[in-house]
Amino acid sequence: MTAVLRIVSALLGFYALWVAGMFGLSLARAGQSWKRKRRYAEIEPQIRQLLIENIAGSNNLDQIRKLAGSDRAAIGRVLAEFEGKVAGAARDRLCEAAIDLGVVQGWMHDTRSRDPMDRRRAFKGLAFVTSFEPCRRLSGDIALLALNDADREVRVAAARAVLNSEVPEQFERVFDMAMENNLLSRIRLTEELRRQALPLCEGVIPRALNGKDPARTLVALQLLVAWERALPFENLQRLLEHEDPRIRANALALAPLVPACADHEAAILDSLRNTNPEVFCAAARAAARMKLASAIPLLARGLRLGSAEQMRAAAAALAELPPMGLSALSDLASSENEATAAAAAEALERFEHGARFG
Amino acid sequence: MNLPADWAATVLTAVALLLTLAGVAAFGTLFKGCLVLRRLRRRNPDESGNVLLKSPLVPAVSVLAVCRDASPTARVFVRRLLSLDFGRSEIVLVLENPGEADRETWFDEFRLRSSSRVPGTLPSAKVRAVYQSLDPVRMVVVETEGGTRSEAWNAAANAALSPVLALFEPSNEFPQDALLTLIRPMLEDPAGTVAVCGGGPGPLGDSWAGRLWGLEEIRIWLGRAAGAAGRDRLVPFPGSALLVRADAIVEIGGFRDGALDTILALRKRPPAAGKPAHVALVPDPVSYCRSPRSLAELHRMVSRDQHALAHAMRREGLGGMAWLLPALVGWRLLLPLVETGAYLVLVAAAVTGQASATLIELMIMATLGTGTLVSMAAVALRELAQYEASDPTELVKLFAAAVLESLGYRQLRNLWLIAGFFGK
Repeated sequence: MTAVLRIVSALLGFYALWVAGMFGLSLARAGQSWKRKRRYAEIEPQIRQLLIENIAGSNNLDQIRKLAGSDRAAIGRVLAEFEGKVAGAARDRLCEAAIDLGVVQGWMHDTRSRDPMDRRRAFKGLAFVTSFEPCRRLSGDIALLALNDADREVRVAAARAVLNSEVPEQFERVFDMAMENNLLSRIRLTEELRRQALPLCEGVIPRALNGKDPARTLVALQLLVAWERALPFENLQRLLEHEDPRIRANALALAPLVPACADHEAAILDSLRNTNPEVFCAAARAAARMKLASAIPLLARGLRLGSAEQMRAAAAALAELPPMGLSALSDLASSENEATAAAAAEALERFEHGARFG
Repeated sequence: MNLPADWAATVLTAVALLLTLAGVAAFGTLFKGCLVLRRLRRRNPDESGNVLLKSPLVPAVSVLAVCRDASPTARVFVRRLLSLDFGRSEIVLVLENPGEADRETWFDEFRLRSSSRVPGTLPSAKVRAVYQSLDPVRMVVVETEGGTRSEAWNAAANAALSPVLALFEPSNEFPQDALLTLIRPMLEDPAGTVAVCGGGPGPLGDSWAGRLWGLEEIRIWLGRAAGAAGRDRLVPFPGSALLVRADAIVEIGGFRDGALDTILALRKRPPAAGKPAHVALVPDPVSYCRSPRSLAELHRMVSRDQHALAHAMRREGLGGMAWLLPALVGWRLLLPLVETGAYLVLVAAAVTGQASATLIELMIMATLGTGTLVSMAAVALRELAQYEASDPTELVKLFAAAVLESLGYRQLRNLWLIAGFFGK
């Protein structure tokens, strides 16, 4: 028993030493973090205020420098908060302040850090300022090189920096990178890619859509649909008639966003005759969005004979096509087919409720 | 019956050794969990909520809820679900056999009208009617006759239109952006991830019961959540919320009577395209148990978890999920049984004069000492696992609770665990 007691004592003693050490370290870290947070809470609102005054024209960089002291990162954090909130001359003035305060140089230095968290922060900051030409000149091709970084988050942040840099030659590379990345990364690059839609539509997008790999075509289509903006892309006919229903459905979702033409309208009407629910529903939504009165008979047919999902899509589309669509809905609301009548009545009720309450 | 004179010493020495080794194993699991959490934190993006909110590429989610009455608690729960931020989401509420007054209340509260949605194919409770809200909220209400929990969830899944289903516990707290955080693993690997479990320690309660639960929560988070996720054996844990692909639920023939049973069934289905079902962990407080204010509340929380475990074991057998179920049963049933038995033997030995001071010292070290150190290690490992340091006051409170936990609560909890496993 004494031997067991010795073993247990030794084990627990070692364990207790480790726990005590960790407790000490945790407490010290927590104390430091608490002090840091308190300091941030004190200086960050003041830095924010001074930067706002700087945007308005005040020359107060010395004051900001003095306030932040050796903690340049605090200025970087406050600057990054302005992303998406300022544009044009105000943004340029902030970027100029970022150079003068040495924040951009700090970020550039951190892009070489071994810690991916530091690199992420650095590229996130650079993505905000690279729209300003002097910042772009200063940072050179750091962001471009980081598109091959081992850390996925760094690659996404670098891709944002490249897209904000207004150098169209590099956009294609980012678009290709986005296509190869997972869905989450693609979603996170959507907004920046959207802003560069016009140069992208000149080369890389038509190539991706007309390529031989259906998976790539589908990803490219999904990206374009997610942009939700008008696109100068006319050659959609082949995709609207594609044999893969997923590609066809996405092409139908894109149809209202490209210049209208008779061929597209014919393809939408053809898709409303398609038995695949995904294709039919996408066509119904496209018809409603493009206000295609010629689609009403086919939508009414879908509401009478389609599956539950098709009936709902057809009814919702008819409600968007007044006055003839609504009149068809009113007729079908008294149909003998209970499912048809219920779907029509529900769409009508929603339309009336929407009209009443805006 | 003639027992050797030192029988008590022999038994108790063996038990002490077993409990010490169990403590070492517990530390190993917590440490592994800590490493997994650090890896996950490094991999996960720091932001993207707003981007996900706007993007049409994010799949729609149907949040399922079941209510038996129209009590204020039930209505507040549904309102909390409706306030979840997400681009395309709907709430599918199942009203199980509601009384006329309850029905009226729901109708008035959400201005319900008949819906054209037709029930699907999963085996569910008999559906009386389906309604939709006329308010500018996406809400579908399915009125059913009474049935089991799985039948109610299946009725909701049948009416849902989204490819992803979400389950939140009414008794849990969840922030408004919970869905936006939970959906990320499904966007990272849409084909491979069939489900996502999300949860993490919530704010520490002010009462002693709250602090004791805080320790329990950290141990669960590091061991049962992250430790199991590191070996791809994650199953729902207390306080967690669940996202699951609707097609996977259809494939296994519908929900089972509990989130744990459902995930165990999902994991047992044949792997699609050579890939086993992956259940991803979101180790953030996207959902967490409300901190208990009294010992009675704490008892209820511990027992609820134990009931779910016992139910899963009865259904799946001890072989369910390779080593995970046996490990959980060993941890939450056998060890408490052994420890409680050892206390009784120790008392008997002390009364009959067979317990030496060394034996008592050994037992105290193996039970109270190990328990205290495991809880303290869990608190320290949580600090290692997260980038942000905790509040120093909270840290001290948790360490103090870890010491006091062994002096009474640990023994009481052992009894709760044993009773919870065998009780109804």
